[in-house]
Amino acid sequence: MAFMDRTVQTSFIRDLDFRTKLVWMAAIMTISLLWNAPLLQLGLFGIVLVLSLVARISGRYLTMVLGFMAPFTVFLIVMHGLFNTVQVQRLMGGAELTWLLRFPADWAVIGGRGATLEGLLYGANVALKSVTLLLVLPLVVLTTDVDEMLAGLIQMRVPYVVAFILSSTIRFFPLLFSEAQGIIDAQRLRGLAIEKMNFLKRARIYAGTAVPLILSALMKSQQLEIALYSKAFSISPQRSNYHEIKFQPRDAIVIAWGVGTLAVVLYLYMQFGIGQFTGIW
Amino acid sequence: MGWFGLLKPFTKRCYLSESDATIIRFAKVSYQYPHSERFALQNVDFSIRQGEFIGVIGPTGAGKTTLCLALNGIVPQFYGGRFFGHVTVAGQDSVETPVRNLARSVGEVFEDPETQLIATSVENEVAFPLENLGYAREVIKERVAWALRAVGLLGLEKKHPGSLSGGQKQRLAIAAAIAVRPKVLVLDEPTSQLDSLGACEVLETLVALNQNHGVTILMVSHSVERIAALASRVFLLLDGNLVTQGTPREVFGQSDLLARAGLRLPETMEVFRHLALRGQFAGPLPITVFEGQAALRNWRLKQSDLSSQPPATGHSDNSEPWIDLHQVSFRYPDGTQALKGLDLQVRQGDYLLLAGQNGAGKTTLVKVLLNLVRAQAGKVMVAGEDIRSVPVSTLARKIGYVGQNPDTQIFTASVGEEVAFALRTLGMDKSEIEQRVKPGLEEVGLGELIDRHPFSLPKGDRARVVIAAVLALQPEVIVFDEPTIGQDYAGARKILDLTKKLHRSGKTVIVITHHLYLMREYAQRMVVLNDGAVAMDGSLRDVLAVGESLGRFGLEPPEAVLLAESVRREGQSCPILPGELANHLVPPDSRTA
Repeated sequence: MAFMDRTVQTSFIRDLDFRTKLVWMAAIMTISLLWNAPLLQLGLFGIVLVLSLVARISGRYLTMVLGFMAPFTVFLIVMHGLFNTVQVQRLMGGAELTWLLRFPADWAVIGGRGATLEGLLYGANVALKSVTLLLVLPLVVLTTDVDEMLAGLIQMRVPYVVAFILSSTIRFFPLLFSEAQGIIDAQRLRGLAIEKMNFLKRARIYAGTAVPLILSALMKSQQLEIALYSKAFSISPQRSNYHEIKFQPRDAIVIAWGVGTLAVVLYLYMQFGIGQFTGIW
Repeated sequence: MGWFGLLKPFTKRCYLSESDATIIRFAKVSYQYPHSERFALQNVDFSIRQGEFIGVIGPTGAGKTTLCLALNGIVPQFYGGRFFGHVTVAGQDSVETPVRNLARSVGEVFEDPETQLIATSVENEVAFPLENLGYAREVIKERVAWALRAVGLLGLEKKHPGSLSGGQKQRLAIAAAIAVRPKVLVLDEPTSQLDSLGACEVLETLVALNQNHGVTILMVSHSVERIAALASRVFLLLDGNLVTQGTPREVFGQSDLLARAGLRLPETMEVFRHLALRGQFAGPLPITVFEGQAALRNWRLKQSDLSSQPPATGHSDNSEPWIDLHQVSFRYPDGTQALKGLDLQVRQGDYLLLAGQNGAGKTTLVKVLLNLVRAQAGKVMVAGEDIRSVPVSTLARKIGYVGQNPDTQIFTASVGEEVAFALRTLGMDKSEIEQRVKPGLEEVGLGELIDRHPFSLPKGDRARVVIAAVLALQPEVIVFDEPTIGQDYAGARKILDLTKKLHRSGKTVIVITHHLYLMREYAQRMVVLNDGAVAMDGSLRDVLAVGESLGRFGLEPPEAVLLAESVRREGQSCPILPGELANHLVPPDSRTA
């Protein structure tokens, strides 16, 4: 899947050290998990989206993530709007909820219930949180060469074998997608009209690729193991590194900025409750 | 002298660097894979001296790959199984020394480059074993540059290995192996996926390593011509036994044994064997094309018109093209212009050989034809219909595709299911499918294997499973993409015989291959692609007759053609088969015209 390939174009984010990006990822994730205020969550989502564009993450990838999340977003908003009254009311300190509609009491399951404005807003917060968390990971993974990642992890004193397994796992996903696409293409070349199928039928076809995919992954992992040993993998702990990664002054500034932002957010949250769910924002 | 002349000096130099020091010792080695009933190696016993260049030949299943894997300890350390005897490489026992430690002395290049590339950039791939061995950064830099230059990949350091062509991947795998400068380099079919020019560059590198650095080389290859030209000693394996070994002349001199193994003679030798049988040649048979050309000095070619004899184009040139590509261009997102205003017409009943060097646009052309990618310019018509609006699945009922690697086209758990899949897409009911699966498999000789898992079959049979599955849709045209890669001579002939059978039954056949020598008894028409456009298009005989000039397109003409070229006068027809050439050669002292 070409759109999942690492971005090769230079950008400010692409050029940052892997460890700097990790700090920022951790900061954004913490803030996103901490906040429950939908407006702030929307702002954070906007910032991550802008950062993704600055980092030149493939537009196709962003569209795919947003498209994939769209039905879940609707689902989350509706479900929280309809059913999450207890938690929302507790978060608001027991305040009265604003009912937008109520179903007749004699209706099955949803009888007597209804949609609340606060529930819908809380659902929006959860949906935005999910999308933000989904977008922030590729902001690091897709803008860093796997080998830079490996070198970064080693410099963080992660054992080489563990770092290698981590970097290989990240590398494995695009391979797996491309392998799955290969199987689908092979099936189309045998007359399978996937383009005429509805979502459910397509999902069944994609699920059907699992067995050949696992079989192929097992074969590949065995071949990879042979290739690794043939190349003296883990022969000694005294491994050298072809690439030298060094912290640049800008990395220190960006890390300080990230840590500082997180500290301010935590302070505002704990001292003034900024970021907590209050109904409107 | 053309590019293939690079091979000429190798034969002479190869013998110079051998020393008496034994670097590899196989002492009565037998090996049985787990869950296998037969021994992959049986009592194999030999010694190799430092600096030798060993060529290993044998049919599929002879034990060649197992022999390679035993040299760096993967057999038996990785696979397990029953191992008897001893293998010593550079003084280390290959059973007792861990594989990763043996890697310092033995570099291994496997047949399929896809399975051995690990890193995410070309330079990191080469650096990987050096990093593991703890070399200093400066040394790694120097070695990476040296190895990439040696295999012709300099300038591609930052590219992702996945974005390279098959040939480039193969060269990258070789670069990673040679960067360590191992004492022993083991190569299992290292040039099978390369065009001739690429193969020659790689072989030149190997010879330089052998000559200049004293690296001992053991190379498995189905190309007997290359083994004859390069190896100082040849091993012939058959059913796990080392049945004979000796100089190329000694081994290839045993034509009966080779025939029993299903192997062919180097083509030059075959030409001279024909001449010797008819009493026109005496003495040791030349085994390389250069020896052959020297032996044919002052010989002539009989004047005769071969152009009307088969193979010639079978279709009527006046018929409407069934496939019509007009000014087709395609550029990949990374900017690679794969097709540049390509024009090509294929008529019903054609048997077309599509050739060209790696990166010439062959694969892209097929993708365009199958609608897997859409041409950005030009028009593609199939059976009178513009394919732009035709779904891949519908087009597949007109054009069947058998890919280079059958494993990527197999996705069910039984041979019968593979064929049934396509029938199901045609909307057939269960009983109708059951009725058609068995005959479909029988057509490709797999009727008895209907319940077997496809991956339990040999590669040649797996390819035939895919062919049967593709034929189930009854396409008019069948495209075979490099069907002979990884096949021994007998296996390759078996698949090509099947293409001939399909052609005779009225199908249009397109075969993409570098192995021109295999296609002379099959293809009628040959199209050479170069730089995204058609460079040559004509009858197979006429295109091959340009001989050495095919080197411009990274193609290697068969040795019979090169020999004919050395004696042919302008305007004379060109014999392209060994027997045909022998029939038309006239010795210097003969007065017959």
